[in-house]
Amino acid sequence: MFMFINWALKEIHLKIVYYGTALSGKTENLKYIYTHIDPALKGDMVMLKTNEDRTIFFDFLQLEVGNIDGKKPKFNLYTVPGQVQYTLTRKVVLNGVDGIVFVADSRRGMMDANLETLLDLEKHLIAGGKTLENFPWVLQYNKRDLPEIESVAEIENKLNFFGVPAFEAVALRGDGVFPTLKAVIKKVVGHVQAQLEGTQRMRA
Amino acid sequence: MNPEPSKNAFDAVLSKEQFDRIFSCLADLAAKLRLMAVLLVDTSGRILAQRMGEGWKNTRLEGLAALSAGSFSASNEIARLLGEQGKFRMVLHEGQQRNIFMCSVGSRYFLAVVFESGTALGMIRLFTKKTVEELVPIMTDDPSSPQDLGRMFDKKFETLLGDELDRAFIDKM
Repeated sequence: MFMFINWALKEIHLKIVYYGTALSGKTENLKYIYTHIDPALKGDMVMLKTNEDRTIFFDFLQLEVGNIDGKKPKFNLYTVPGQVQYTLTRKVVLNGVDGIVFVADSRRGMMDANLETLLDLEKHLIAGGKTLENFPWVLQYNKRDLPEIESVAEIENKLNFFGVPAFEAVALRGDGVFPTLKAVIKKVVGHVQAQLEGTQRMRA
Repeated sequence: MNPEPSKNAFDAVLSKEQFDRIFSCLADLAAKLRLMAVLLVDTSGRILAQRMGEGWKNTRLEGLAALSAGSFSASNEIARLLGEQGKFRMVLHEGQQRNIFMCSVGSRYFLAVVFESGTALGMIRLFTKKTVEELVPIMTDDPSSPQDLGRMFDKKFETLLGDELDRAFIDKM
């Protein structure tokens, strides 16, 4: 359990990480969210990039949804660098994660890279005592507008072995971005509630 | 609110009493050292409590916390690669006018202290160490958790959250 509740301020802090291969569209997701969400609800966007405009450490954006039933949920959204050499950096960014969006690159020829990155994610989760099987995550099949892409059925077959919610997307123009975000938030909240209920039963 | 890793969901909860005591410690530290800001942050980048100096009121510190946590966590990985038994004891970023000093509070949290360059680093280290010693017992205290915590994210909350998210997204897809 990584989420944090400040009972004094009724704040609930949850961390969501966008994971995926290099150039799969993780940063594009966050950029789109940043530019299309109510300005009152967002903080500054932090982007740590190389000279070639590639994510070197992470991107970060906090969303505050406001007062909901007396509670103030805050979602810290992160992306990881996708290039192979940054596996240790991805491990650092995954620290304390509550939910994951796996952004898959739909282009033909990218399935092996997608799968390798998914296994990389699983490796990091296992090191933290978690697994994809029982962790809140969703899949996004990005770049659906490109000409040479795998079918959704083929990607599902290769990546969605746990039957998690999956969304087609074109992150550059925003297609599928908000449904993906909304779905992962819903999964995280459900998972957290189950954990809290379980702990409360044990204490009773 | 255990500064060491735990599987207990309620260890992720900061009670009002804990928060008030933590805030008081941070306020004391900030006043003693005339700090620009002091934050208690978890290693994933979430701010537990913060206290800002006069010139920094109304500044949102979430980005600073996220970057500090990244820097602090990255330094721990470097320590591991170098064969250090534990983490680096502190991380200091020194600027021309401002500095930020970070030190562990247990293995899950750290204190980030922002100060002007005229303040002696030795004083920062000394008083921060004392504050950490005050913070750890507050955070390992086990106050009674709110009875309704188990129903925090009930169906009503989920529905309302979904509605608020729909309203928040200006360009719905």
